[in-house]
Amino acid sequence: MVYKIYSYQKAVIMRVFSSFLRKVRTEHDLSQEGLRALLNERSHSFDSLDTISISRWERGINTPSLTKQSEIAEIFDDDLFNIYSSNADFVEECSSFIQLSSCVKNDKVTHPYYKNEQYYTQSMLPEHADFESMLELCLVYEGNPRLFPTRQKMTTTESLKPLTLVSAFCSLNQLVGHCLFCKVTTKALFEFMNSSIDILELLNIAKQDRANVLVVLSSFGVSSQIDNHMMSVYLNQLATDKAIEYLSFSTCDSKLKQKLMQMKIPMFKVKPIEHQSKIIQNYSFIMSRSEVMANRNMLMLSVIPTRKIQPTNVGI
Amino acid sequence: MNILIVDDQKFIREAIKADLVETSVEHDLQMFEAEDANQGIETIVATEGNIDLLILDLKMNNSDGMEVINFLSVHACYSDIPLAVISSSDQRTLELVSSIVSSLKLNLVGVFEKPINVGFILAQATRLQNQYGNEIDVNESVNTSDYDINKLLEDEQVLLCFQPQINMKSKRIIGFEVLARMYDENGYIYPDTFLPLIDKAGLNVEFSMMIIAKAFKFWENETGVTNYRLSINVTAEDLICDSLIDYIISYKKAHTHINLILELTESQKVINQACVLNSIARLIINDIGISLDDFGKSYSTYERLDTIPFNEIKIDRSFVCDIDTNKQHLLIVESTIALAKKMSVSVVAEGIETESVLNILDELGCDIGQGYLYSPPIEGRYLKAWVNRYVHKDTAINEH
Repeated sequence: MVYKIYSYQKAVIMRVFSSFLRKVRTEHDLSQEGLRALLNERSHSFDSLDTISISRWERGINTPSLTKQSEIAEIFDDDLFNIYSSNADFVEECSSFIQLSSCVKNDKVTHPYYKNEQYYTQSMLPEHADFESMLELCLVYEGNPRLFPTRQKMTTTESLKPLTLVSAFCSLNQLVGHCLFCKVTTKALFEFMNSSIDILELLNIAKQDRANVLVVLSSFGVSSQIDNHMMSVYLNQLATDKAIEYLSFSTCDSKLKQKLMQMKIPMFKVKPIEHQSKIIQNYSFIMSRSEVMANRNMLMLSVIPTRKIQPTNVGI
Repeated sequence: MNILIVDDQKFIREAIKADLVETSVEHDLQMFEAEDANQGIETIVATEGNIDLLILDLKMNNSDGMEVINFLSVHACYSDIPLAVISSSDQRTLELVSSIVSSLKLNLVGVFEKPINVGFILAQATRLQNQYGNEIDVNESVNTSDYDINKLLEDEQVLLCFQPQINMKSKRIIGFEVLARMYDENGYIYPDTFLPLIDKAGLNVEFSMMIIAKAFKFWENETGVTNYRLSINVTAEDLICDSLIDYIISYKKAHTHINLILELTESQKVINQACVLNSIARLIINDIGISLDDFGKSYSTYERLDTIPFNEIKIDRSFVCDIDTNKQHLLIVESTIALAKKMSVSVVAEGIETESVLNILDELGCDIGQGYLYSPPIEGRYLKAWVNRYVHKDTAINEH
């Protein structure tokens, strides 16, 4: 059950940022001292910054944390996702890390029929012929009783419209991963997390209101490659849709909870749900866009355009 | 399976034993009995804690079950004995005992009102034991020691976030509470993780100093927010440090227009020291407000009310966030607000996440609200934009 942190090399992150820094400094016609003064004036994070550090950042000897990088980027009206996703080398490297991690020895694939072969993903909207059956499988895996109303027969396709379901299949059309998410408002999300409204009401609000949070309801892959791939789908969605201010998870899957905690995401709350005389824990997480982008693992996953991961990919 | 029954009444012990034999599917059932707390403790020691279920009566003739509970809590080797408390006390007492036992981190099967259903207790115990085993597996991954706290502080890898405090009647912004985050090359680090490390390294006061200095600097330079109240957390330990108090006071003297309030947490032990009370007096004389943070969480809060001339009470989020569904919490919040009114101090409710909680607080006459319903903590660089949006009625909460 050990989740592998990608064997990442600092060098690429450094190169991307140092070239960004050199570029903006030239564009804005600033000396290193001028840049130091500007950063110092704009943010308390640079209270003790000196030109030596700037020089080292530019030469790629050293690099500031992503949190600082993101502040610098924003001072120049840019953001980390833009900077990193437009660097082909970095994107290449991130995608290959995801794929590599499944080839590493001891990376146990516990699945009975999936043996690391090729797979493809398919994004499904509620109109799709297979949506209902794939959603059913997803809900069975997730085991969150609060999501079950979505599989009742009386639930119309229309009411499920805000949901996005992405499934991964290997040969013989066997399901090897999925993610289920939707975009809602934070206000409705907190009502949902506190059980003041149910999933159908949440989805109903999602249709009317301006969404500012992407909430993940399930995310799973049989191998760590597919698991990461599924995560990259919604992280990329979040990164490219600038109206989304927060990322949230509401899950009963302890494997996903564990993965998030290993990524150092703080848990927002745990709520026990009683279902058929069993107690099921419902875990919630919420983080701001800047927290997502300052998290190295999440940034690396977010820059991967979904079609980049597998040549056999279709549908997205 | 070893079961220990501690109850002063013989017929109850006999009845439980009979029920156990009848309901248990296990054949290898070994039962121990004790008629008071001391005998119970002796049995626990004699069996070296090898007890699979401890059925404990709360009120006994010449002793009480709390003695056994306290014994379990101070001897870590016995603290995971599955404990079922039985009692004929009223519902409130049972809930109180339940929350005490949970806070002592004992392995509580449940608190059961007499007459009890032994079969149910046994089933509950078995179910929890299975869950308990799994839970430990899952938690092993949390590892905090991979941070070099000294280095992080030295590099000032600290970020300030602000959470708005809103006047519940007028919906106007009162001020903001400063919340600290740290970060490294992997991402943010949260107080749950870094505060214990800072404490362990003995750097509490240095850290508070850094946060206070950064918050001051931010507040005076950030036009558009300077007029709002600035609320900063301090611990009683900070108040022992004269140089920190001097710094805060001299800053306030130089910036009289900044409305500053300190939110005080920490144990009674430190608070009652003369020098802490002295510091609080100096702060108040210099027009710096004192707010009692986490009210209700610590057992000694009522004593604090008596000794400290504070301006405000903050009710802890763990009580506030579910007052619409938790009756006990509603009672606590209700009486705290009433108490604050009687003492003519203002009251802030933290942890407001839903509209129904907001409405209840409003009806109870709570003055100030704080929580994710208004906004999650906002990073300093986005604060001005948030204030603009809020003032122009553009945030979610203000749309209604």
